[in-house]
Amino acid sequence: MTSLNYHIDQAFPYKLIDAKASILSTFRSIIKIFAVRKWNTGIFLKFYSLLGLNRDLYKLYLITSGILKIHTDNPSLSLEDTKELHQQSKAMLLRFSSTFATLEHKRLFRNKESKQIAENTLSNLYKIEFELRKRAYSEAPIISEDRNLTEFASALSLSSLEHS
Amino acid sequence: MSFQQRDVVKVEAQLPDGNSAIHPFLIISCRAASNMENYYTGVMMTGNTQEDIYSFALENNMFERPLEKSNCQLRLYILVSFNENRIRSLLSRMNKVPFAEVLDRIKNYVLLIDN
Repeated sequence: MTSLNYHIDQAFPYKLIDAKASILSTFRSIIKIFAVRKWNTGIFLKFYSLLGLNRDLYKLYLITSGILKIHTDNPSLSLEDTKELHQQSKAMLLRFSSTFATLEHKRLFRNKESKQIAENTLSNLYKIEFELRKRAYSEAPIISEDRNLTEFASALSLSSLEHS
Repeated sequence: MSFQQRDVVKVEAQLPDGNSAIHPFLIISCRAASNMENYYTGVMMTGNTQEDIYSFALENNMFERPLEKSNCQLRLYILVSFNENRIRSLLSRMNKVPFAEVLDRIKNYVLLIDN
């Protein structure tokens, strides 16, 4: 294994972000009981800022940007290492996708900054996965089962022409 | 136009043996292009879990509604244009971030200029 194979997954504060999302969602439900909308918004924003959700998201963004740069600039990994890293990158992507869905579901993307940083982080994770995929599957055999797909694609093109 | 970019639709085709078959596609063409002749361009989905460079693994949290099947993938190199009357139903809609990544991979890795 090379120095590129660090277990970055442990450094990701996913659980912390999930927990903060739940706290913010609960807090918003509680302050809704009070009628003054202007005050509620101010209190919520203050609490949002104090809790530091954007700071955690930004930390994730920086980490993923660093990993992406490493993998873009250093393609000299063995195939075996690359395949292992690719599996790790898929796990990271899956985990953050879940966090992203939680933030969206709890309507915390009303905060434009949170939304932007989370989207950029998710985009970084997709790009890391793809960088590693390109190398992990560079010499993989053609998937023979896909013949059914290409046959269907050809038939569909023909059907569309006949009915146009 | 009943369908739009990012929609996952079931499309029917007549096979050479006379039978018809239905397969899911993700629509990638933009509204302006699809409007030209009611033709959509889609990328093919598969339930086959074998991976290659052109696979894009799909998770339910990438969509507005869960897909009917789990562990689906897109085959980014199988791009097909089809008429609207071939579409049988709307399955779901992909979220913007994964869709942007799908388009990015197609543009940068499938539709690139050969050396």
